[in-house]
Amino acid sequence: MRRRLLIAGAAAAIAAAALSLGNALRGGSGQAAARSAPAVGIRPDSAEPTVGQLQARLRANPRDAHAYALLGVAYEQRARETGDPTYYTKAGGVLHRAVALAPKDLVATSGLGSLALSRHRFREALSLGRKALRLSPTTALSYGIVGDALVELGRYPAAFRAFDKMAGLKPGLASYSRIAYGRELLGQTAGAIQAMQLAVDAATSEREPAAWARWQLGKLYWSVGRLDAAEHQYRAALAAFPGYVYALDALAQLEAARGQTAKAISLERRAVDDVPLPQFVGLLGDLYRLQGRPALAQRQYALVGVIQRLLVANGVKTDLETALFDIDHGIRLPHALALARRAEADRPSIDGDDVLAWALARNGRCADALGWSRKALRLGTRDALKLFHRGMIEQCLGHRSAARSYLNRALALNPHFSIVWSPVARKALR
Amino acid sequence: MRTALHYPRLAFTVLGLLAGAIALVIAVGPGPQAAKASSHREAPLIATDPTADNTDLYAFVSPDRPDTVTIVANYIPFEEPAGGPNFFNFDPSALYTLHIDNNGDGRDDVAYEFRFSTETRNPNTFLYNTGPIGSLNDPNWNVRQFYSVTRVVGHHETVLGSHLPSPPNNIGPRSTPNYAGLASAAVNTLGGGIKVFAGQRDDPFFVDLGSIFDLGGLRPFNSLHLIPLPDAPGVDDVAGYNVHSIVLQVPISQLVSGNPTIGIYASASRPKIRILTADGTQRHRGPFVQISRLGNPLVNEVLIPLGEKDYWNRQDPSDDSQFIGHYLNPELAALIHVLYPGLPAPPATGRSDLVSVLLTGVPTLNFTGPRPSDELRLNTAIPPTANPDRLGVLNGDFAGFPNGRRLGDDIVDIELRAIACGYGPILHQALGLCDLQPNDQLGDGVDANDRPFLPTFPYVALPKQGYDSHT
Amino acid sequence: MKRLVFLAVAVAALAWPALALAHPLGNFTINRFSRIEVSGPRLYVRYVLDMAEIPTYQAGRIDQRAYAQRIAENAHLSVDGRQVALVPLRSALAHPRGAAGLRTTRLEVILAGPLLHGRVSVSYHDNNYRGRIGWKEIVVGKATRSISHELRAYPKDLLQSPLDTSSATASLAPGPGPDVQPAISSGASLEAPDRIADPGFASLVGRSHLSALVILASLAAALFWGAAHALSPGHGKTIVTAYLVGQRGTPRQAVLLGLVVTVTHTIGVFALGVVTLALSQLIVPDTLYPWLNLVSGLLVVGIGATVLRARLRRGRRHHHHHDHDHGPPSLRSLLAVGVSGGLLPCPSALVVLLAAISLHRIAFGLVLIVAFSAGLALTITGIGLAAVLARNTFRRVGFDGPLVRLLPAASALVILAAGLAMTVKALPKVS
Repeated sequence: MRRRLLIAGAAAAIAAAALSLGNALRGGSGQAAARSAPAVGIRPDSAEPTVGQLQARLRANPRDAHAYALLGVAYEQRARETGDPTYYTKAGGVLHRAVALAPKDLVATSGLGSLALSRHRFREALSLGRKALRLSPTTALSYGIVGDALVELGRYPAAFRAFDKMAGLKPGLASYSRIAYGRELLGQTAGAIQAMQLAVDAATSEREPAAWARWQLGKLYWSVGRLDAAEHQYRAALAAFPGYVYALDALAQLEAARGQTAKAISLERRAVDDVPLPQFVGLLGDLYRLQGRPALAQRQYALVGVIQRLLVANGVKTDLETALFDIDHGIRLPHALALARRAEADRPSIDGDDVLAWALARNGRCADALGWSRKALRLGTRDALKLFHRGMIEQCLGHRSAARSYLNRALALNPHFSIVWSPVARKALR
Repeated sequence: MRTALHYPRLAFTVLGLLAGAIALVIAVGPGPQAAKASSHREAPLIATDPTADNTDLYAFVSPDRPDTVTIVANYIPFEEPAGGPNFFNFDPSALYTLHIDNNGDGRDDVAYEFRFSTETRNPNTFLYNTGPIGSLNDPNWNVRQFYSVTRVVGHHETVLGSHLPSPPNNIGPRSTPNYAGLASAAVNTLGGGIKVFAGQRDDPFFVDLGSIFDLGGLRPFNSLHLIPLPDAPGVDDVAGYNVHSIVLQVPISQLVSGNPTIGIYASASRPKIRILTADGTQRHRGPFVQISRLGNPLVNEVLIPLGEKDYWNRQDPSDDSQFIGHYLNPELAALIHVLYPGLPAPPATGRSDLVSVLLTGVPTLNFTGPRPSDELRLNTAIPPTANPDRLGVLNGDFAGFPNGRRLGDDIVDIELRAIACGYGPILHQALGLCDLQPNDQLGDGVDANDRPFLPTFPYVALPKQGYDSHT
Repeated sequence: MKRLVFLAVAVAALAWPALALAHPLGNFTINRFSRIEVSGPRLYVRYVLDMAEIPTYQAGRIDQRAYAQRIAENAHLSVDGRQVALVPLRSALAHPRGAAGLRTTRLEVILAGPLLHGRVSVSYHDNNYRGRIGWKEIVVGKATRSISHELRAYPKDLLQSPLDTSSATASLAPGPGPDVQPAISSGASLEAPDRIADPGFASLVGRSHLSALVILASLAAALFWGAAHALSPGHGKTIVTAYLVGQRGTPRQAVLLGLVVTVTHTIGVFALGVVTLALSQLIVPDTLYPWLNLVSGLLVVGIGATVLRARLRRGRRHHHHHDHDHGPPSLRSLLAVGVSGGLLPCPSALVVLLAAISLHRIAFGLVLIVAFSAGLALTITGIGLAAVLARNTFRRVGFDGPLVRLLPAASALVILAAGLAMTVKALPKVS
């Protein structure tokens, strides 16, 4: 009897202790301490000092929701500046903390939205962007997030409306560059160049956005074959931000177009050494092949395979660029077609449609490919690569005059639109 | 004792779910986070907008020419003097405007528009200069800026000056050896007694930013803070930076109309563009969208909430009654008591005194009428004093802030004391404004700019040189 | 019994397998570490190079000696202003496993510096792989702590940017004792798996390889977590305890309650998952959570009110009886209590669900949640059993008086109070 009493008492005590322990562990509620003043002035040329200041502030007060949000946004900017993907992970961690402490914080919500965009989670980005708009319908940045997501989901009219709204609220680099993109998608190259020039003017002192805007402007010139103007912009980008990998890669393509293969290789190698994105590595391989060094080319292609494996292991949703790489280089074409299907499902934009069309064509299913290629060109975009794909599909289906028309259009826009495929297009026209 | 085994259905359901799920798992693909994969377009979203950022506005009766008013509008904050390779310039696509409201309706009656253009002498190089810049016309100077000034009165536009030179950035002893000479050569005199300057200057603002943004710390009052620290002198965190200034000096007679008090604000606007254009090659004459404005200092930073900033920046001051709630119930007032529990709590609601100081003007001092609008109100009938007091009106110097704003006025301390309801004995006596002690002693401990101002136009100190920017 | 222990140990061992995680600092980083130390009269530099998967692949076969030589050449040391050469003495090379079955590289090199004749000022600059992204750390002193454990475990502090130190200066003096070369790592220390402190349950979903062993091990871990998690506030422990004590529940009912909580919890999380998937474009899952809190609170209030009313009514009618046995609680009321206890998905489970959705490992996530819920049930059942046992014990002992008579009503009040507290707490979050 006494034994049972003792056991019962112990059990009750344990239960009570468990309950109170749980309560003790919970700690305070999520109320942030006194909300501190708004953003510290961000030094125009880099986000690095801001990061340091905010980290110090948070160590002093670990419940400052707004500081977490600002730090998350600063980390995202550092990721753009340095190319170091660790910053994306940090940004995510810190932004989630911010949202946990203050679910209605505008900066944290839009910060998570832009992070979702960087991770190619476009549906999530759209949802977050809309949430940000509900929190504040007059903040231009939120329209940018929504518009970017809609573009990647192939919902162009809604996207363009969002971009127009954004530019109407706050004309500046962020909105001008999106207007330029909209015009580019609709095939209005002259208007796109004008808008992008406004974006360049608005950047001036900030390194990374200045370099980015110039790079995009250069790509616009490149897309219509104006190589000198493109080169000027790429070099201006490098002057603004020495070592900017995207400018190095773009310049490499340009030098290759001019027949300067060795120069192109040295530029591309610099890009690959700094940030080995699959499209850089793939291009380097193509350049080696052009130079007549197939062994080196093969090593680069194998490296692309390695990067793809890493992306898969890291859990990346299959990317368009990696699917396209396999298709372009004839690597396991049926598997590549499956990849392209998944990529298109994730990103039903005209880029997704085009990659799927090309994948079908390379697998010999040209009839199916035609429908997707039509979708890819439905906006009237003056994109040489998409036109080339269409030309090849028409040729595959035996529509000779249509094929010639599309291939001519592609080469007329930019005779050097692709290291690998421009010669193929020229040959097909002979 | 009965166990779960006596409830077979439940148990089997659970197990069945488990088994089915395991089977699904085998079929399911891989998992988590992305390294930076490839680029979908990824246009910048969070770029700040320095070239259109109004940092400070000053307006005062010129001490050396008391029949004129000098307006200083600063843009592009935190210009690091060692700013290569890009250096700092006004944005050629932006429209910079100084607005004067002389009848108290919140709408501008006289406006001065500044448009800039950048000319690159040698497009084949990206260097700012290819040798020492000895004069404004020196061929070594590659990237130059020029500007035009247009006066707008109603629909009437008069170009007062065009292709006026702006001086180079102050780079170093090799590139800009006689910077003072270059800067003074860039002071332009236009007809009608108007002087104008637009270019790089030292940032005249002084504030202990580091401490204030560390949970509202004021170094001299560190020991009273919620998280106490030892008291210390203030540190001017804006010292060492340059800024781009537009300085305009205009005879008073060209600005006032009846009431000697004028309301002034500065703005920056950019052309609004849309995705669809008529032919893709439109010239950009407008419409312009105002993307930043500034009347009284610190309003946008301290009183307007984050989610409304974009919206506030686009509004015309004549519509500022919609924001009156933020002035009547300033969040910062409540915060002061939380952060400094030892100090008497200033009222956080019903602050009509702030509405007076910042939105309508103070009666008998610089009142322009009942219509609330965020403008810097300058009573041109009050002459400049020989010995300006940095605390302006709070210490009885009626030629200082909030009656206009001189370069030396310590607006951080003044506004802090105003919000903390510590207007000081003089205003308490004269106008019945609240005066809680010791709130009328609050300050950030930074009382003056690190560089002395000039006694003559353009008054703002020369910019710091890039070469010795950290000495 | 022995077999059980063995199984438990095996499962535990499997729970922390040598999983292939991605290089913690990104797959293309080249990380560098230098330790400047003095041993006797001589200065040494202990250099560690950690290359992630991609640079390792690009490097191909690594010639240890050539690398050591290059490292020595690019590490610039000057003593009292004069440049001094560093000489490689020994090196050790290993290729720890990284992600996707690829290898990373860990190269350690001991560099010999000059002999010191008194206190000197030393300036060190590491010029290796200049411009490459990666962790760059320099530490001075033999015993000085390295926050990355010499590139073995990179800290996951969200408030810390990756270290970027390529230069250091110090004032050093020769030490006592003989000139002994610093040790070089070997064996497991060289293979150095990254001992990242895994943040528990939520990280289980993120494991990159999902072999059957991993799945089983993760399930075991999830079970443990659920059991431990049940000790934190919520999940109707108070309610269950109060209910069982008040309703004179039996051990069997305690077990049943535990099961109901489990099933409800699992179903709740499942349902949330379905809703999230279906509405993923419109609703961010975070916004649903406050509503669930509210519903849960209201349900508990309802239960508490019902029970209280029944107690009071019965009490009025039969007050002259003491210790009246009101009969076992009906299945319906039991279910209600169990449901209310399990309705609110635990934050951890929710995180797993959300992570699983975003990671496209939904099925695996749901399996983990079932295991988690089972662990939860075990704890709650245990607590419920303890409550029942306590009550029965007290009854047997004969503590019979007005206090015990009031116990049922009091327990109902506790339930009501808990429900009100939950509701009140949930209201502001819902707005």
